[in-house]
Amino acid sequence: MKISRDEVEKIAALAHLEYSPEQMEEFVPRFREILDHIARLEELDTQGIEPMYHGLPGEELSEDLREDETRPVLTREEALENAPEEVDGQFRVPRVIES
Amino acid sequence: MSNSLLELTARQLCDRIRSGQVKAVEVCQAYLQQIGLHDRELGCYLTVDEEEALDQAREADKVLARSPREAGPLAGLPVALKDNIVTRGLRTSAGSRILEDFIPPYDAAVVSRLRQAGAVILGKTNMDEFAMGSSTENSAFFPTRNPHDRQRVPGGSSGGSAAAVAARLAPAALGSDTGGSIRQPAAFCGVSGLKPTYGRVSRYGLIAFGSSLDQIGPITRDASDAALLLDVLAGQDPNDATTSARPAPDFSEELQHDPQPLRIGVPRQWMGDEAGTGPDAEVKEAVEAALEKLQAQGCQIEEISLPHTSYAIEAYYIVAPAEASSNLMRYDGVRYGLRAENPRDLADMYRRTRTQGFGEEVKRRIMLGTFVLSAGYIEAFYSKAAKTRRVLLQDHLKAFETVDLIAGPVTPTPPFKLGEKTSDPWQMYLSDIYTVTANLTGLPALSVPLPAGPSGLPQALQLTAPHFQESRLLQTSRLLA
Repeated sequence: MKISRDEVEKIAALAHLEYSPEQMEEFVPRFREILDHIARLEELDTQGIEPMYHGLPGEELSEDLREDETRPVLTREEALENAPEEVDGQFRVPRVIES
Repeated sequence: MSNSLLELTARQLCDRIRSGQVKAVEVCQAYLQQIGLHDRELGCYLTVDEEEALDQAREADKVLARSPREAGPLAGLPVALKDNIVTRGLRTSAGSRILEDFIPPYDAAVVSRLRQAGAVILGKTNMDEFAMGSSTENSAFFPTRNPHDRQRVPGGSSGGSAAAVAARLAPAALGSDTGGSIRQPAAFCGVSGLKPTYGRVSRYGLIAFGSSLDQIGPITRDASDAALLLDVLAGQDPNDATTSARPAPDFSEELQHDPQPLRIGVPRQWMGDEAGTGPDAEVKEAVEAALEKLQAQGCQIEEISLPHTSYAIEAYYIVAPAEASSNLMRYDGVRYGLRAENPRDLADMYRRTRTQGFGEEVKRRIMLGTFVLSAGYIEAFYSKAAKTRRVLLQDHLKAFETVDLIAGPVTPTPPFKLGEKTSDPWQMYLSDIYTVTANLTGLPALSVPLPAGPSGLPQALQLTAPHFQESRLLQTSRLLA
């Protein structure tokens, strides 16, 4: 499959991943190889076939929804236990909005 | 005394603990000792929870002494858990650097159920990072070795769980199966591995890989132990909307009944009658011997066709990475797990956290998934794969009109050597060629251990049943015991 290196770079940006130029050298040909394999699906005639996105068709979500009541959830302390950085009971992250 | 304890099945252990012949603490100690002796060499466990396990065992003994009736069905039974199943207060890494120090604030549904049943959590087992792999060599920490041959892989991604049960470092374990990750390592390690029907067991608290494919299941010594665990694990869960509302049967009770003589279909596409799709000679021989044994027990063996089976691996390697790329977007360094040092800005933090935290194979699958879901390609790849799933399901439903079960190999080869397939991802992916179909279709499937082949390596037979017919799989596997 003719996917260009630029396209692979774009996919990496979308996926929030970074490959050094040397890593790209190695990654791209392998990636193309895998795409060649999966592109073989084109051979299969799926005209008129309904796609199946659920793990078990017919068992999709039932219509009966639970009562809209609050249920126990993690406490703020529990939710913050694994925080890389927290301040005043909140997750601290780099500035989001340019000043 | 302690060594003979290691030879008992999970069910025998439960019975003896309940009847007071042996204390839960003694059983727990025997297993901890065995782990201490052999795990340095095998690498089954990422975390062993020694103190807590002994506490839980003492608690089980206390409850049993007070009132055996109050004790759960697994009172005092030690169980190992794959490290992508979250355990409150016990490190859960999914085999990844990005979650190296993650201490979950809650228990997975299966863990709550095990605890309620009185089980003792021994520890967390090694795995391919985020369950992506077929050899446990993608663990960010160390590889696990096959107990039958230390130079070979235990399979994956639940390699730690399968090797632990095979080496008597746990009487039973849980794994997860997205494309064969319970069945393939069970086959490589000579133990029993069951992937239940999609929706039979709650995925709440299972670190997500492919949400429409993932299923937790038991890795045990035999079918009877699989039923014992499944009885505890199965059932609807309000925290997982994809669990089925069908009440779970009493699997242990159903296993008491002799199976009716069954019609077993063998897909000719799996046995190499079509160029290049068959397993190697030793695997084929073992499967054929097992089929003869089933025939001798009154089963009817017939050839069937699953005409589109050769497209399963391609469909799987589109659907699974697509779902994975979406599920793994949550690892951004904000709320838990690794965060890259001194980020310049938010985008830099996301990028460097993920680049440092994920291993090569996980990144490859995120890339693949991002690609097949991207504008301009989603129709040709992801939608096409979703349609292929439906075609595969139709093939199977048609087959089940004439046969009760489908049988074939679990893997194309016996366990391979460490390093043998690590340089060629597609070759590694092909290890899953016979297992991915059950995940794409939601069907339950079981890996049944068979006598070793001429090479002395474990062999296995895969059985696939219609949806929700796990009992049929377990009953039939007993004919091979």
